[in-house]
Amino acid sequence: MPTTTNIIFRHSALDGIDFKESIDLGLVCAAFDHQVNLIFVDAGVNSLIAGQTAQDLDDKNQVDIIKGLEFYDIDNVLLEQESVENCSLEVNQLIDSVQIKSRQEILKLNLAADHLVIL
Amino acid sequence: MSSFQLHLIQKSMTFADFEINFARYTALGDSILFLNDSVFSLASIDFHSDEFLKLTENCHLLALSDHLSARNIRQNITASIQLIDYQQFVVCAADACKVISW
Repeated sequence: MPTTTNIIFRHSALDGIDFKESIDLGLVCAAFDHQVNLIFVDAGVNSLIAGQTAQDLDDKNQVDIIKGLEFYDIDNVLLEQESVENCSLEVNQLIDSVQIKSRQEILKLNLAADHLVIL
Repeated sequence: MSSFQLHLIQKSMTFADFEINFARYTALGDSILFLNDSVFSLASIDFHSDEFLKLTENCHLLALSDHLSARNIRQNITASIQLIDYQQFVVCAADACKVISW
């Protein structure tokens, strides 16, 4: 049974370094054969809006890496439904290959995880 | 191995934020430890409300005594919160199956 690590994203990709550090952590955990779930809540769900261009801010487009995570065996990119609604987002505004789960479903995943990291 | 999770609350937050995060991460029988600036929250009126007490009635509420004293709010917290010292903190962390910082 692989170790499960859930990583919670609470801030948008352009708000500080938490997004990048969380992604790095996820990649390291996946390299050590952890089952990694990336879970976006609160303002973190804004990270997954399609068509963002951080290059306009002379920054690397961190969100692009989300699209390539499956190559690193990270298949579960989850958003909390309540947070999506609070941010007035529609599903068609988000990048592909993300799953939306209710807060209750997120709780179940968190309770089942071996590690829960919240940055 | 104990089955309870230990939640470390380190930043001051509103009751609304506490309630949302509580719903995301906690289970019956968990311990919730307030330390650092989160102890300021305990002095607020929302953290004395029936709503707070009902929400957390199946959890073990703790606060780090030195952090309350340092902020001079020791008198302003509800009786349902147990004050602990660093040694008890270590024992609690060692006993928990998982330690989660919000």
